[in-house]
Amino acid sequence: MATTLFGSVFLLLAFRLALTFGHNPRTPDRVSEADIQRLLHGVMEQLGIARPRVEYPAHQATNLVGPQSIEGGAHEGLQHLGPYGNIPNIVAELTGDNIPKDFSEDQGYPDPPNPCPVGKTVDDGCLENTPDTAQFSKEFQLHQHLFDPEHDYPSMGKWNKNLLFEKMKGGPKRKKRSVNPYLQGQRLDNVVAKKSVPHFSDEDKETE
Amino acid sequence: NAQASYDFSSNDPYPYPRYTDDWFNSHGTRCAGEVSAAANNNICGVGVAYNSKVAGIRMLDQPFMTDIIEASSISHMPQVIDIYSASWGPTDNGKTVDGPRELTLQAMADGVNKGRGGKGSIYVWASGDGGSYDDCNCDGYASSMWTISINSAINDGRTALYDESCSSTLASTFSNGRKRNPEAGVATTDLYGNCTLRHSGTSAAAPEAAGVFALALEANVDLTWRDMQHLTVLTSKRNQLHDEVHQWRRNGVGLEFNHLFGYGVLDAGAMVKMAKDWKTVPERFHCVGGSIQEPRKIPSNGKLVLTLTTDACEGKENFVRYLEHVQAVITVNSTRRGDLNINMTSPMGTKSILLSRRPRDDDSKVGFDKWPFMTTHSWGEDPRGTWVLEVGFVGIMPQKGVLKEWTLMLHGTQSAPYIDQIVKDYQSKLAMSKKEELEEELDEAVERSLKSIFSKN
Repeated sequence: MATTLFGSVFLLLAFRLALTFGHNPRTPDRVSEADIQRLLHGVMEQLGIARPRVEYPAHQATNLVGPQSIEGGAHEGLQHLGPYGNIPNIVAELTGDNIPKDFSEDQGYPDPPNPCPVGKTVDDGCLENTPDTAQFSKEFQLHQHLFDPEHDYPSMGKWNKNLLFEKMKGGPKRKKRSVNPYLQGQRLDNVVAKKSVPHFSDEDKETE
Repeated sequence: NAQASYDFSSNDPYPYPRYTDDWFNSHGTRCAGEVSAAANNNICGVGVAYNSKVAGIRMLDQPFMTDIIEASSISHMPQVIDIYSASWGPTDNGKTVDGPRELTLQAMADGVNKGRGGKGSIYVWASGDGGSYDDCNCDGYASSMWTISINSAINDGRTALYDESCSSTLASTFSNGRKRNPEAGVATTDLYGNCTLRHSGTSAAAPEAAGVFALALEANVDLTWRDMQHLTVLTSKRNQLHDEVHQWRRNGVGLEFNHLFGYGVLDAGAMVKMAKDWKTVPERFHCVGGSIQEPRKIPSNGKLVLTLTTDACEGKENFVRYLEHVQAVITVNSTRRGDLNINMTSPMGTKSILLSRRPRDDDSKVGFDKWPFMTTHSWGEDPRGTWVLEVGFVGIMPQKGVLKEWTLMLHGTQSAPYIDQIVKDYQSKLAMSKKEELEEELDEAVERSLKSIFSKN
């Protein structure tokens, strides 16, 4: 089978060569191996039977070890924060000091509220009828960690407390952070998830 | 697209931003709006690809990063998600050399090999915001062959001060104005139903590119991840882009490039037009062009100059005749890594700056260990011939160093990628490249037949 295929391709190849160099006919035995390889691939490509070439991880750096520093999001230049731009750019809570921080359950790294997208209900683990406001998100996050009943919620009066708690209790309970499987495995220690705003001294000198 | 969204930071399907008093987490919302904001939405500007759907992935907002989060994020539903836009990476502090780890690397390779029904996931990466103190070839995500890394230009065509330069950048898009006229920012959606007019950074540039690529896919769904890169090279424009340090130059096949802007600013209209008639580029091959393994001293003054002459695997199955990406895999140690400067010149005379000075990088132990420096500047060139590597120090104090390895990796096609393309605009880069290819193919055919005549006689 292989020989038949090769034979027919070879014919094709000779045909192509003859076509290209009509004035200069060549016999197949004069064709170099490189020519064969090249045209063979050309033919196979046109017939759509070429072996798909793949990309290999080995072509990238594969020997990286040690702590990994990742940053992203809002760190480029000064951000225009809030609708009126009156929120100052401040150092984010995670800074690049490479000191691993203790973010245990109640240490101030809350999950944001999850309002239901269109078509999802409370049964899908999201919150229905959630106001899309900064105030609500703030309150919601505060609630996750302040389980002390004596704790004073200064702005709770603005909210329907019962409704809020009903929502939070209703539906499947949110999974605890500690079971997030994505936080298992190779932990890239000392990692910075976000950092503060870098300062470009040139920007100040800029006269425009 | 809520179905394709996920929150890896808190492991649920709802990637809602965590509230902070400074609205720090507004970034994803802003990037999403740039790509996909609906037309006539009565809230804010229109997205570049306003017919597209956008899925959100929350993956940076947790106490620490893991390889699993990265890998899961960039391989999330690869048959549903076409384009991944990423504005994150190793810290841009001018002294980090880092890249994707084991799982993430595998996820990226799987993405381009198998994603989107085998046509390959499109990864769009922000070049980085380390400014002139950093070099994005030290960022293994942006410098990967599988990502299209995008730099930014400000409103008057200059580079932004936060722009990092490197030879792996493929193209640029608009970002904000400089500080004195910040009103020229990017208008996009903001948290809690707001609209901002001042989104900024290379992080704002990458989503614009993602939007343009979405338009190209809308015009032709059969484009592969490599087609997208070819289209980017051919349709990006020089326009008025200008950098004070790095001039525009032409590579060996006449394509204009710039060390900061890559092949220029994306032209959505031109790209969509070309995408419509585009024929998938030929198969890609990988060839080890040669390697130097003996340790060589880098002089304190002057440069270590090495040459490698390669046949680009000619005569073998994996012959590379038309280049796409070139990598120089380098192992080097020095008394100060940040003072190292590495240039590589192709046989057709195109010089790529593989590594510029990084004044803050004072590493003297790690150096670079088999680090792949990537250049896109030799795109379309014939790799056969002599490559030149120059390694030297640029700094105030005299330094010492040893280059232990230089391996030349060539990636590209055997057959001419543009010869079968339909040319509509005879002034275009495609027209020029096609003409060039036809001439070269003809020359080589004549040469081959002459050789055969001589050997006959």
